Amino acid sequence: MTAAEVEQLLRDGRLRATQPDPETALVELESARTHISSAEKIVADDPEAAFALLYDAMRKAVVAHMRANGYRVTRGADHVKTGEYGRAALDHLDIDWHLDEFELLRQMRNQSEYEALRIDDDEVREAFEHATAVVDAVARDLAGAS
Amino acid sequence: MRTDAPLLLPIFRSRGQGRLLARIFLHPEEPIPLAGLAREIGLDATTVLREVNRLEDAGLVVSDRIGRARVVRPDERSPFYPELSALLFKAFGPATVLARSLRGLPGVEAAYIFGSWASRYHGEAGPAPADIDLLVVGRPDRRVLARVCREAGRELGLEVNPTVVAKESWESDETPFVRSLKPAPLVALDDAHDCG
Repeated sequence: MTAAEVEQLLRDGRLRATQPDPETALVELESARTHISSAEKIVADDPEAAFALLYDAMRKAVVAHMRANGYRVTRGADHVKTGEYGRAALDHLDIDWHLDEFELLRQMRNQSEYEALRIDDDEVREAFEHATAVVDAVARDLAGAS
Repeated sequence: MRTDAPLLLPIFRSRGQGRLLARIFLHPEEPIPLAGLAREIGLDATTVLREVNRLEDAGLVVSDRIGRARVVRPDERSPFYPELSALLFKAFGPATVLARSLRGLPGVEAAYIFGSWASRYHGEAGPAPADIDLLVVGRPDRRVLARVCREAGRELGLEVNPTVVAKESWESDETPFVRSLKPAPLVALDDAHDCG
């Protein structure tokens, strides 16, 4: 974890410190894994819904890491701040490329809700890679910390 | 000419006064002559003169003579300067910031703010916008657009959510989304917003 960058987010009022809660973090991480397996089941029939689940899996994994380490985002723009935490706190996990895509996935998911974007097969495939990489990396990190 | 109070931040006496303050405060490095100010914000010269006199009497702005023109800028010595700038930026800044961020971005044919921010801007009452809905017409690189929006959102203190629509879709009204958007309040991000 880049402590300095997380500290900066705290100073900027993007995060606030809370009591670390590793137990709830594991439940959240499990929920993220379930989202990935659910996405696999529905992707052929409903790629937009699968994409939304994969984005949520990625987000929940980052939130789980935050919770286990005693942080929460402050009110407003929650998902954007979650992405900022991910880039600041998880850069030692060698998943930069996947975290960089977090904001893109968030925007694409929003846009698909307006029916202004059809998610294609390549985009769903990439979302599977991002979600799996982030969930696995967070799981390894939390297991190592416990 | 009296305009209604701005609903994005209804603490100013009128929308005209809010826009006038925004133009002056969002570009402190570009003092503007009164005639140019009137033209940019669409108020008559007499109203602008009266408003500027009032603001100068209150110590919020200062004006200088440059040749025959009276040029106005924020008074940075005012105790209200930092907070007033921040309020104006938040209320009036998105159109300015996004126009600047998107300028010259390859593949962007046009851009508009829609949703609640655009509604408030056009005078529809409602809760303060929680985010900025941005419509981009064209085919920009999605990753570049995502980065630009993330940076603009950080600058504005509001989430920026872009939706990309191809130029043909926008012009043909072929999707329900485009059809629903055309009659809705929109704020075009054109050159006019480069100056607030």
